[in-house]
Amino acid sequence: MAAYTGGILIPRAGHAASMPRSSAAKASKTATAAASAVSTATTPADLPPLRRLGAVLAQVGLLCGLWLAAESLRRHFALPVPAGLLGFLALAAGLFSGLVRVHWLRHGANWLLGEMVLFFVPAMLVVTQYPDLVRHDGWRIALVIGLSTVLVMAATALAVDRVHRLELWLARRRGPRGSRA
Amino acid sequence: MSDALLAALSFAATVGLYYANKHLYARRRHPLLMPLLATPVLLLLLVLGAGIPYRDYIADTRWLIWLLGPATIAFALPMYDHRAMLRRHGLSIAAGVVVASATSIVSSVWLARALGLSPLLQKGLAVRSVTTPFAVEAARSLGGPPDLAALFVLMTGVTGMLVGEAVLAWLPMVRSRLAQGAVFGGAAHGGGTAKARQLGEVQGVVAALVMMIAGAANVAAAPLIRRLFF
Repeated sequence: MAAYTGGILIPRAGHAASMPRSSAAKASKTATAAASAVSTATTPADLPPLRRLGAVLAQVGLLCGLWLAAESLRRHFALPVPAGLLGFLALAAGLFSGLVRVHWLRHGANWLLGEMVLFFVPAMLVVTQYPDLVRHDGWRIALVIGLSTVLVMAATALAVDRVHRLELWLARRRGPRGSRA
Repeated sequence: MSDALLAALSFAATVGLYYANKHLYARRRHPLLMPLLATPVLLLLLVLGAGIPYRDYIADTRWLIWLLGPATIAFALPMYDHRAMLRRHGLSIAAGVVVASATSIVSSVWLARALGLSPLLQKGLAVRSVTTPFAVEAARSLGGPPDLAALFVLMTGVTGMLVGEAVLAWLPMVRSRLAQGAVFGGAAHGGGTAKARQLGEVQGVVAALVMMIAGAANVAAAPLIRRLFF
């Protein structure tokens, strides 16, 4: 049993069986839910403005605290992994295991990700420190970035297209039995 | 004017200009008004015009850059939101992450070497196709310049947004929405993801997932990249 949803082949029965904590009815809706999550995730839920501000502040504080904790762990044990990645993996593990609830951090995470441009704008002004770089190497850097970007796009397209076909083939083999094991 | 006052004013100007720009862009969606482009250009003119030393400019605004650290952690939430897509197309997404990252690192370093760019610039360029917070971390552990890496990341995002659709039209094999999304997320991170979202919802989600996972993978692989290339 497979259904075409948005042009992507979904082995529905197998998919429902593989998802913990969700009913089969919910699983049939996940294609649309997942697809719209990008847009819904960036618009915070309806809270009165002042309470939302409080939630954003507290949760950004929490995420900053998590980063500081990861940083001190890294220093203490001289880990080769940067604090950001350590915190990202820890939070992902917490969310997937159900120990951490999404709504504890939703507003803070949305704010941090939504205003990311503000955080790297000051880094851009570093060009004032490298006038020679702009004058002599500017076109070379632009050339590297342009050529490499086109190369990355072509290679990724080729690879994902092939693997996606393999995925469809695997889903078709597995589909009728309705199990993913 | 004292250094502390100059630093505080720089901070206020950065935040003020960014929010004014964002407000304006919400009303008039002209590509040149994107906060990604207009804010740094205006700030640059302001700082150069007023003759503010970089040391004073960065003294307080570095706290804004610091927030990129917690932002990397925040990426865990959207990744968890898209777990259904991740389960269903994990293999394709993993292929996108690995191929996009490997191609980007190898081609950037080799092209930079062929054009005679310094090792410092090679390191900055190596991590240019992942989203800024991860690129900054990865550049740091490569021993490269994090601020220049952020600049190259921005240039990559703008390039990807400009050439993406033309490249997709020119490539014969990109039929699936999955591949289209992976191309944008893998090659041009945030800018590409915004573009992929315009193509369709599936493309947007796949682009976001490839972008986030490729970011984390690049940071994790930085010591290996360092050993292989530098």
